[in-house]
Amino acid sequence: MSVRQLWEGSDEDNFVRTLSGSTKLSCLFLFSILMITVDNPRTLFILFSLTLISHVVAKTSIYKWQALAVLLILSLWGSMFSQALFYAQTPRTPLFVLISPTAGLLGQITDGLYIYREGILYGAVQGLRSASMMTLGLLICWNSDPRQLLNALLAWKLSPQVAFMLVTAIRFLPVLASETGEVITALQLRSNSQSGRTAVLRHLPYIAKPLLARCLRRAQTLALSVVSRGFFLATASKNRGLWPRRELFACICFTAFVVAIVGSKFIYLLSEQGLYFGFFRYVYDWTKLYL
Amino acid sequence: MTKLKGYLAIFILLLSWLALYWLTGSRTPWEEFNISKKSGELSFYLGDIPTDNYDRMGFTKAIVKYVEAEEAWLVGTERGELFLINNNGKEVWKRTLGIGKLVSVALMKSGSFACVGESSPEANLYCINTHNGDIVWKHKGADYVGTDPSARSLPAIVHIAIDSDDNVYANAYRFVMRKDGSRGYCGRMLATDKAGKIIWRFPAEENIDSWINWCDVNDANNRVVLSTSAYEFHDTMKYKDTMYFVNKKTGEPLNNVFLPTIPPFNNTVMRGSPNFSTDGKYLAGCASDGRGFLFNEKGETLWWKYLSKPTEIDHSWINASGRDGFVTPYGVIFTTINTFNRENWQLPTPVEHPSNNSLFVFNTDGTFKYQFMAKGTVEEIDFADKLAACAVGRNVRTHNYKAHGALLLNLESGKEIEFHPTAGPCQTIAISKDQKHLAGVEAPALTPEGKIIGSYRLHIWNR
Repeated sequence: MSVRQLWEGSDEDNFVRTLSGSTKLSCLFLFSILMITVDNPRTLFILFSLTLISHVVAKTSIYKWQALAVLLILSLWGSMFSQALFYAQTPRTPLFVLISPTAGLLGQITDGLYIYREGILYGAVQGLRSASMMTLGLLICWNSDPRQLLNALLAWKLSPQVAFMLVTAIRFLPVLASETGEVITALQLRSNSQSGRTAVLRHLPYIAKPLLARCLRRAQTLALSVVSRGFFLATASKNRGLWPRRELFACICFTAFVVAIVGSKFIYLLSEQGLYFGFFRYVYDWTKLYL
Repeated sequence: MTKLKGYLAIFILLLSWLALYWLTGSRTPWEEFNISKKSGELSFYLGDIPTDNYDRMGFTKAIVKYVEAEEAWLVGTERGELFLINNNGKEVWKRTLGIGKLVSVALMKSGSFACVGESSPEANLYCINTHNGDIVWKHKGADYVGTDPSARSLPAIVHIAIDSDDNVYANAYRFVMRKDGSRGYCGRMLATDKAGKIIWRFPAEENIDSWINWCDVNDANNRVVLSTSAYEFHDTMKYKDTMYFVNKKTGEPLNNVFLPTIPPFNNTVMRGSPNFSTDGKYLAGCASDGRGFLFNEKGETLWWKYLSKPTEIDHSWINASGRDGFVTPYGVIFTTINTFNRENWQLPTPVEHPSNNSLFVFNTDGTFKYQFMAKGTVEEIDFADKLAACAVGRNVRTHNYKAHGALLLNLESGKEIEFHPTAGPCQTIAISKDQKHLAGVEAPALTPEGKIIGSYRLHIWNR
């Protein structure tokens, strides 16, 4: 599979692909609110697991799973390791001492370097938030035609220029990946080093300039193409696809669910500030236990 | 090779997923009560809390009381959660009470209501219906003693006493460490009726500029006693006396008692006493300097004894700090805790004081009955007729980790009846009046060797 194919949406028929653009964008937006609102680690873990299951349902190819796995591992463990080392809140419990404060100059400079137990969990919570959004975002990228998303944005009366820019960003993700691959191949071929010429890391510092030049050229072509086709004419924005009624109803239910979650969290935060009402008791309990 | 790397990435993702399942699991309600059952013992995990160092002064707290009316245990945690759990281990209800740590509890006479105090930016005093966990009323302690979260000066309802009319007497207290290193104290006693209406405050118009950790009330003599425990003592303090007596109905001050100091201390402090006898004739108090006192109802000293005399060794004063004082039908009971170095409380002492971690029992005429020495600090005592249930916690001098557990003592003979060991220090305990059930909370601790022992668990021992 080429780099471009890896990041491009597939044409295979699956449940996610048949959903309308409006449904996909609504779900993505509501899910992002959910990820910000929820603080409970296990609930976040369940939500993250749901996003992984959605990839199974969408029959994501093994190559895409591999790419997803690398991204998730880097984001999750990166977040956990960094927070475990640099967790600044209290209380914090050291699990391991990496550099003792008494260990010479390094110890004096760093004042000791520890792995904090609370930091690992805090890092996991932050990592799960970003990993869940990345997983869901890639699911939509890999299972959507950019035109589908553009139509959805235009149907919501978003300015055609802004909608076009947003969708172009998604459309250009595989193009950018493909061009990065081409630039790296070119750099590898032109390398006069006898050892390590095929190492990707070695060439990474030099890819910015050629990549930027290619992007500018492509952007110019795209701009000319859009203008010549009269994309932003009012007539062109007519005849957008309708939101299927069944999906609309599901989105309304999901919105109500997210509003309830945000509402209960808000009520709970108010109770901590002294605005406590006895009849909200079960809401407080539920929020503290699960959110 | 590339294919192998790809599959390896998926395999690592799967392992990461499992690791996250384990990491995020400890706070979940469905794992909150993973019950472990041994013969005659039930144990529940009370949730994830920060582990304190074994040698630190203050330590993890929890509250536990047996509610006879419900035949169940009322348990409060540092996570601000309150549970009612019956003797079979069934969770009757669970409530969350805001952001604070639950640090004090007292039951009303009927057992249908309990008052719970928290340590938090608000320091709420809650009245809880023990049948369903509903909050009947609450008062904010911060309204009386203030709060300053930026300076980590959080108020707390440190102790609660309830009389036979179900009037509630609670000590609200806040401590602040100023930028110049000096300490400030703000204390106030609140008295409410059963419905939560404030009857009086002591003092009425100002705060006590001393640490107030304890109070007791008695129906026979209509008195409330409040003890002070400020280690940092200076002439500019207004409330210098050791005990303040107040009319329990009106809040009118009756008399104050100042107990003379002994070297090397510059103040006599009472942290876990005094307590009245049921008939109201006696009052037992134990000072941190190691003296045990028996007073009459007005606070006049009937007799006093050295339980652990401060001793100067190599220019350092060491003593075993005194804490509790009770008058029971089986004698006047005083307790001492660990051995401390007066110059620096955190520094270990080279020897254990011979009177540390002990219960001393006297007759009311002052004759000595016996001393019982536990292997660790007796953190809390609860009584059921002639039985005393003791929560045995840390011994910061010997680091004897096998000392931790629930100890059952016969007050008549002074003999140990049962000992139920726990992995971590046992921090609180309660016993049912029929003596058939015992419950205690164990806390996790980080030892100086860097090992975590124990966990935050409730143990119920059915006898």
